[in-house]
Amino acid sequence: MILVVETDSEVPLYQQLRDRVVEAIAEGSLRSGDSLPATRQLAADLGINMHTVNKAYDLLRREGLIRLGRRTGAVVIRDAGVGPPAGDVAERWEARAHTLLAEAVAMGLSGAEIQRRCQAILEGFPAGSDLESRS
Amino acid sequence: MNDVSLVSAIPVVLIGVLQWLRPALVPPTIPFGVRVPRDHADAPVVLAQRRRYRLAVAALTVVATAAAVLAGTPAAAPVAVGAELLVGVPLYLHARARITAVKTEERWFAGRRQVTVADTSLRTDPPRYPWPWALPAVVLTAATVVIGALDYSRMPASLAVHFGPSGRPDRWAAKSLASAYGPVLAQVAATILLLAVAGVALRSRAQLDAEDPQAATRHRGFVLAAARALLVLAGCTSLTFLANALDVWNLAVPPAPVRAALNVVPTALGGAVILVVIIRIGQSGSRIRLAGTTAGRGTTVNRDDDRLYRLGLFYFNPDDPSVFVPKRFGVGWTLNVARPVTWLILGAVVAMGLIAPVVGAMTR
Repeated sequence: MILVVETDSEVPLYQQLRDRVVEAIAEGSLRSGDSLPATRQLAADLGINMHTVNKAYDLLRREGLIRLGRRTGAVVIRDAGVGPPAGDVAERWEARAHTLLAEAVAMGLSGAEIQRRCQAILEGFPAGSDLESRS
Repeated sequence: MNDVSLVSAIPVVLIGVLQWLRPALVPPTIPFGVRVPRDHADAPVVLAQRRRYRLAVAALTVVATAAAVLAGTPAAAPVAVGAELLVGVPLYLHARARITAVKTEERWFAGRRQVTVADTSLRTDPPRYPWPWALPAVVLTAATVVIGALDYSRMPASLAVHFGPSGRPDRWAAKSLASAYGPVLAQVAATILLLAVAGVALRSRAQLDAEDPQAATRHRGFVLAAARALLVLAGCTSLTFLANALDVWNLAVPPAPVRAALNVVPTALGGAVILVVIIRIGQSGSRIRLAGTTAGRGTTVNRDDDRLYRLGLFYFNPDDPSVFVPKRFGVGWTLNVARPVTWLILGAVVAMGLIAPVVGAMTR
């Protein structure tokens, strides 16, 4: 997996790291059982603080996407193939999608335009392109 | 002028050639230690500074070599090499300052998305330690230990511990565990150290060029070549140690041509291997020839990290946990001076330099 972070972005580095890992899982370049680099190694390769990587890994752990073990390090435990989401994941995701879609509407994007763009993004994810069969 | 001064001029020429080559050994996006977008790698100012630097280095090398040869004493060569390296620094800094000035004035990074890139597969599927390459060093070291242990009783009562320029012993010590096995301990320590350094090189920080899609492949090639070179070097060092130990123990006296070859071959081989790595691989693998290499001309560029390299020489980044980081202008690594461990390492090196003569005097 190629990890790209913008060092001078407004988005905090730990958030970028977390987002890139989530995207890699959706794109299929990370699967359940795959390892992530040790905190120190990843921080060294990116030339950033270890706490930043720790924070990103901790966030991913709390979201149930990875497991952190003393021996095993960070391991991905969740991908589209693992099964339907647990608990209120869908509701919490919808709350954030609500804001994101509201932004688009407020900025004047048409409903068809928004749908077309969402569709294009989903089709970029292997498990997200089978819309009809799931709904 | 004599043969001795001609031979001793070899390192002076070699250093000159390496300094001349240096601008071509670094990644294209870091000419003279200045981070530039890929589409400015061949900017007029970069080409002009490269020409100017090379002209100055060529002149410097000619002068230093002539001085070393004409001085007629072997001691002149190290002085000439030192002068070359010293004068090389302001030449580099001048080129760096000129390129930086144009880069700032023309705002090369304006509107570009500056990123840092990591390839997690380098860590989750790391390059393997090239154990077969460690074999010569391990075998030669083991051989020295075994020979020393088996033949202690056969060694003479008085051991030669220092050899003059002609190869004849000029200082002796009474046979004792210290005088007989001191060099073996040093050999074991040197071998372990070099084997460990090869491991560190293999896992060293990957500073990937965001504009080069094959940067991770280059990094793999670079660290593997560096690790192998270090292991070959360990073998060469071990061979030298073994030859010296046999001299000290007075056990096997090889024929003169073999003895002479033992003096020259390890140094020549070690030097050749390092040269090959530097020229064929380049810093971060920048010179490895790969099929289908395309230069990026996108809006995404490497982060402008010039400010992290103080004076273009010293890497200072308290956030970065790396101790060894890629050298900015040259092939190899430099230290992150913002890390306390760096100062421990430097302190240990200085302490070893101070302690070695004392230990040497005690075992005499």
